[in-house]
Amino acid sequence: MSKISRRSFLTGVGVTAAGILAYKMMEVDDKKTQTAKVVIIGGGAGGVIAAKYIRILDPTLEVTLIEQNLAYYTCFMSNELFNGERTIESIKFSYDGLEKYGINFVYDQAIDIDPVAKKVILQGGKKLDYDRLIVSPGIDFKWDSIEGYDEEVAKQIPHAWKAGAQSLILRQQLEEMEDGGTVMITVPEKPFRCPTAPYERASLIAEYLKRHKPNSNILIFDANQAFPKQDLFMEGWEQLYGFDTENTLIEWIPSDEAGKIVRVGNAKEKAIYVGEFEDEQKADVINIIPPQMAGKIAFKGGLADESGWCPVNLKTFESSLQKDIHVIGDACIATPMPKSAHAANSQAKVCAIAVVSALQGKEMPTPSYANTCYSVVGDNFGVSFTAVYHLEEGKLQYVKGAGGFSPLEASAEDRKREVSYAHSWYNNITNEMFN
Amino acid sequence: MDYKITTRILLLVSGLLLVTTTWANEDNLPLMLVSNCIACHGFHGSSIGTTMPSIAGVDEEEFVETMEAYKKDELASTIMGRIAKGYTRTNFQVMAKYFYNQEKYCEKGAICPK
Repeated sequence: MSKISRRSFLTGVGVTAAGILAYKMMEVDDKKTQTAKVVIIGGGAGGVIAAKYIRILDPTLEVTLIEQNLAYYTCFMSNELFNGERTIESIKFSYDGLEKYGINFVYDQAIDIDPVAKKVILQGGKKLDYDRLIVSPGIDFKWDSIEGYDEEVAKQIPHAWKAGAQSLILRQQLEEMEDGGTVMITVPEKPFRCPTAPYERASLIAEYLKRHKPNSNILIFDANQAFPKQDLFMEGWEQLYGFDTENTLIEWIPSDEAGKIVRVGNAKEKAIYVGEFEDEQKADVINIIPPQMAGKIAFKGGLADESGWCPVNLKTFESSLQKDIHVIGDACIATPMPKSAHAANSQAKVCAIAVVSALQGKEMPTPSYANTCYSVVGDNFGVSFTAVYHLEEGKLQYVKGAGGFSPLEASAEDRKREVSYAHSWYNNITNEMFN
Repeated sequence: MDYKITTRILLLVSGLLLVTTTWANEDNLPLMLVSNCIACHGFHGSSIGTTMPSIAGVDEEEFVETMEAYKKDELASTIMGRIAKGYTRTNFQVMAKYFYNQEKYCEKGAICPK
């Protein structure tokens, strides 16, 4: 053998050995992939979609979904409880329809995460191992931000910002209110879950009052100076509820006109205190939408930053703070995507593809994101906002020229169609979630 | 001879490595693109909504041309025009192929094109 050929031979052996080693490692990885465990916390608009699509994309992955309730009440469309369009049963869903995807359901509360040992700790004492964890906990309330308002008071003065029992309290109070009464809604500073929902709620309560208690009115005390779809809402309010006339059913009080709530009187008083000088405002029914933050478990897992929300890598929704943990839905920071069910649905699909790609050692395809928010302003009057987003240098950007709001002064026919599309959207997105 | 065998093994192993590491993830691409369509038009494009049309089983060319027409505002819509402007013709082709193959999933109660 010549020197050169020996060197080639030795190099060859070296490379081959490395190649075989790499191949062996891949084999190990492959075995790991086959039994890789994905745990998901939260069975809402984000969590169930992530669970379902991961199982569809790779049935060899073990997917466990932790959810504390046996049934889910969608917060989206729950405003239609207040104009009488819907019953609570119509927004209630069980998880039974998802059994066919082979998702393990654990009905318990996740109370802690150990990101080092890669375990989720449950209220019931059990610990679940994960290779990848997806946290989709929704929101919690900053109870200490409005003086006098806490979980106990919320039983008398509901927030109804998590659907279910709270929604029913508000609905009952509206039903029991006498004609000529005053309803108040307070809106927190942005960001919060469903940025247009407070105004949709006010609209649908106004519709109820118009039909059943026409001498009543509703006031919106807003900690913001403006709100999304404002011109569209106000167009609808003018057409439907006499907005900007003496007999208006709806009034909107922005932050600079003492719109921000500071304090709540005791529940019997039915009064709130607003603005710099804490002006007293009395009402018959009060709905306080408290300031919000990511669900508690996000804080336990060290996933939230000082803003109260969870920073993520927007390509994969992996936490910027903890490895192998992803955060989707209302809890994550995905600006400019709003905290909506459709956004959570979109994020869940991107995240599911990212997690499956990572566990299979594949390259992830270019992510695509979207959101649609319908708002029902009243009888045959629906409006929408929609957007398509793409990733640019790690940030979400609107695809130029796409998306936007329903036009102002659209035809009555189009406004009517948008209501029916809102209902169709609801039927389809919940069908996708629970079947 | 040893050298030749080694070379063969080397080629084989590197070939395996090549295949594994460049395995394109094309399976997931249609899902990524159609995920937005599905949210409104139903799982597999099969709508149980009262007025939202199903798109499962739509002819591929018809799908692409309809979307192009929405995109150019040649076809009136409440929202489709705004959404269509967010995607390319190539995107529409990927979506069209996906939904054409979903006809079998068209659910009971859904208004399907065929």
